[in-house]
Amino acid sequence: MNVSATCSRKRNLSKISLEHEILLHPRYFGPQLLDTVKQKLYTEVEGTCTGKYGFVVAVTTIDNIGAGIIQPGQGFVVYPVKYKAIVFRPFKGEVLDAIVTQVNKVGMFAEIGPLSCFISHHSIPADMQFCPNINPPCYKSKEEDVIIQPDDEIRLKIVGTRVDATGIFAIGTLMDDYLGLVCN
Amino acid sequence: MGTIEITFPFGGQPGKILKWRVRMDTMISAGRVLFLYQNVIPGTEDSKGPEKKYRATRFGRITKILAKEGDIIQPGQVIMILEGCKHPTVMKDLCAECGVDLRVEGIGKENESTKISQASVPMVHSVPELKVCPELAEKIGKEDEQRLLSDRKLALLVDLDQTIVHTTNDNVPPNMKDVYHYQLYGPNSPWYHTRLRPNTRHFLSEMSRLYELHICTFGARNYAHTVAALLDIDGTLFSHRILSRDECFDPASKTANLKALFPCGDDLVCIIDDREDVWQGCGNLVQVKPYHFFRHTGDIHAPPGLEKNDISVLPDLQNINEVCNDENPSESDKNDASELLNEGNKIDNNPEKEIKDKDNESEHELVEKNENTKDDIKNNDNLNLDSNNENKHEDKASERGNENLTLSESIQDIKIANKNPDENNIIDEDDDDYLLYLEDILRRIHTKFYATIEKEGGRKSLRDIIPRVRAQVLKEVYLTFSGLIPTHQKLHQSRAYKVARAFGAEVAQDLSDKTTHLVAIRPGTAKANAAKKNPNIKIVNPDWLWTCAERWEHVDERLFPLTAKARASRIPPPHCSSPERIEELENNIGDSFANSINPLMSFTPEEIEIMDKEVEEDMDDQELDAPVFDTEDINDDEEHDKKTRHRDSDSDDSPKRDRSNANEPIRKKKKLSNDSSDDTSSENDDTPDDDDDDPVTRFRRGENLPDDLDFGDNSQDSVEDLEIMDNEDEREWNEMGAALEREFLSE
Repeated sequence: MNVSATCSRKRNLSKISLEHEILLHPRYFGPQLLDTVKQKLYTEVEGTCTGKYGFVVAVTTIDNIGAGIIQPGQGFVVYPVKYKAIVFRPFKGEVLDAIVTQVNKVGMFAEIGPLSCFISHHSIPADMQFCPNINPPCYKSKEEDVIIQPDDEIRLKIVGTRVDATGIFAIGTLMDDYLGLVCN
Repeated sequence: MGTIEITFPFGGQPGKILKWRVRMDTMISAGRVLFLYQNVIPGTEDSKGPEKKYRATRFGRITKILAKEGDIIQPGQVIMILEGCKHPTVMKDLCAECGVDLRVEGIGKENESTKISQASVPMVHSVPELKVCPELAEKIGKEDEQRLLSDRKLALLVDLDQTIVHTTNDNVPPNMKDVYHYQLYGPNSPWYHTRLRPNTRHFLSEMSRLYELHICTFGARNYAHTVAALLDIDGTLFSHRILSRDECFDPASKTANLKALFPCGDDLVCIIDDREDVWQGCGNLVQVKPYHFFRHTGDIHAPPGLEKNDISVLPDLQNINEVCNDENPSESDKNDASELLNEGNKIDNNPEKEIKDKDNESEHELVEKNENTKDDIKNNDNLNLDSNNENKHEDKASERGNENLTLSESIQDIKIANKNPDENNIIDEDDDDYLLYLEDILRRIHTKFYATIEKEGGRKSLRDIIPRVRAQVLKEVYLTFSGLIPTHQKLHQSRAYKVARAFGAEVAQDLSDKTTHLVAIRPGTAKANAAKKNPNIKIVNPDWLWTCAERWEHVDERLFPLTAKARASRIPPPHCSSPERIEELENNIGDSFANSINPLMSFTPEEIEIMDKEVEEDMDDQELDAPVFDTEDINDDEEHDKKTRHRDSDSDDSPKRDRSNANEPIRKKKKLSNDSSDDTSSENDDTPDDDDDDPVTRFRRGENLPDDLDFGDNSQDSVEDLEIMDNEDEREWNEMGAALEREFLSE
């Protein structure tokens, strides 16, 4: 996959330089030391979320592993690592494809990878009605030609985000042109 | 909020509107194209240049469009008026309509931060962060109600623990039937074992035709969803309607959430739960006989401080089990659970045999009987069963054990017994069939509800329907108690009386022509002897009444003969609800939705103003008080003044406050009304009567009450007062009573 092309097309995915400190137990000191550092970096940063940069999707390159500093009195060593990673950061006004996870009378929840998103009933076109009697519950248009239910793919626009230390939450809308159910 | 004027940008050229892209009353968000325009050369009407789009910069609803297509608009001219977002739906403090971060919005506008959104009702069971404003909640609630009515359904809140499942985290053998084993919190977390009550799946699938099922449990969210997945594999029964402890407002009560889930009131809501206390006398409750399968485990998700006292029961069970183990030393510890149930059958064989001698019982009744025995165990009365008795019936028990097995409707059990005959004890012999009765009860409620609609035109709340259905059970039955009520207690205060009344029976102190049943604790009492001479009177032991109350069914009296040995409890088992409490509380349940959500919301601005004033005056008074020694008259007047006002405001908001807190004891309400009557009198005669304050007023002021003020003194108080007292402290008293009783009986 051509990462840079994807990134330039979708602004929410970007490749940026980041830094991270790896704390290593002395038992790993040996010929495989740097591999261990790399392994540890992958496990520690991939899949995490920071408020500033968003979700770290994948580490692409490790640019530099700095000189390790042994912690006095412990034996642990700290390596400052510079790496590049693909991060996912949703922005207001962005249009994204999402998977519907839950549909209820107040609206529906959808997921865009690690990002969960809520679309209120008012932000769903007025001709779509909530049908609780069908299993699973769904939103259905009057002509019954469009049905949105869990596991469907929808295209939505993000109207607001809540970014905190542990995650990002977004508010979406379907009230614009070309938004709604994505037909495959 | 408020209105926003959209103006054509300053500093540019005037433009000519070509086409509107929006209509009145549409919601627009930032970036949406409002109209197409072309710039015009100032002074002329010639439009020139490319078509441009005018985009909205704010979120809102269009309330007025001030320009028509073809109009030329000058820079700075107002084109349309928007109504700002009221943030009716809020998710994690983000407005779900316009996406505004309400935490940010609130900063800097100190007094507005609380008013930014009215959204306060978490309407979706499993997502407490998602809140909607009361108006929207009511609208959605109404739609829900309409839908239920058109589907001829009602809503049923189902409790999990000890109602339809029993869960333990003790070690249990791995090969028990219908027991699910799972870990909730990763590979190293404790194992949980959940046993479904017999017939649960059948029950739920039947009920889902008549009711919209909701789970309402005090288990953690993880647990609730796991158990829901066990019960409801494809999500047809509960869907996402699962309310767990994580979403409960109050750790000790489930009532608070009712209003959020059903904003239009609980008229269509029926509740099944094994505990009454967490619903605080909610009239919609059908109390269920607790399901107890694993030994040593009560309700593992009981609200803090409200755990049922299972320990008191368990030693007895152990004793019984020891007896059993002596006789069958080969049986391993694993069999405990089934032994417990076996034991139930054994004990039961005593009365059962007699019945059998008398006449042929139907299978069904036998099953009923078996079930009853577990109550016996619980009621601790079997403590008195001496081991002789035990042994005497032991040999019969083995034969009868098989008989019971075949008679009981649990076909599955038999299947397993066939599969591995050696181990059938390990699997289980769970003869709990309460859900069959419960199904019947709920069917009756459903039928009655829709029958009422058809007959009377309007619909009645289930709060009224359920007690009515209950009162049909023992209709036309005239009871007299013998030895059931302690001499110091009045008949109408006893719980036995209340239970009987709730189920529609008439209760008289003495035998009369009308009497149909004598409920006696032991043979040989004067009443029992008198009743024997009258063939119209059926003599039963109290378990008859408790069983009727448990199943909401007129149980055959022959199953509960009065014998010297089979002594039943005087006190109804805790799951036999006494709905008197409910009837009285009913009046207190508010109509206005807002009142019940947040007590503070129930105050009108005027009331708050009055309160503010009061505080201010108090402050002023304190300032005045210090130097005012010489002018005693003024001080006195002022104080009196203040007091009157204080009471005024009290009585003003009293009804509201009462409603806002449905649990508030009646007594308080009475006091309030006393207060207001006081109030008028003290206003009429101007003399300050502060000295002879009644205790009520003093209590309100926070003073200590005199010691001699005895609430429990029956002798001079009116009956009404007593009953109120009784209701209020009923639980406490009952517990104390039960403890005493136990002590007394064990002697």
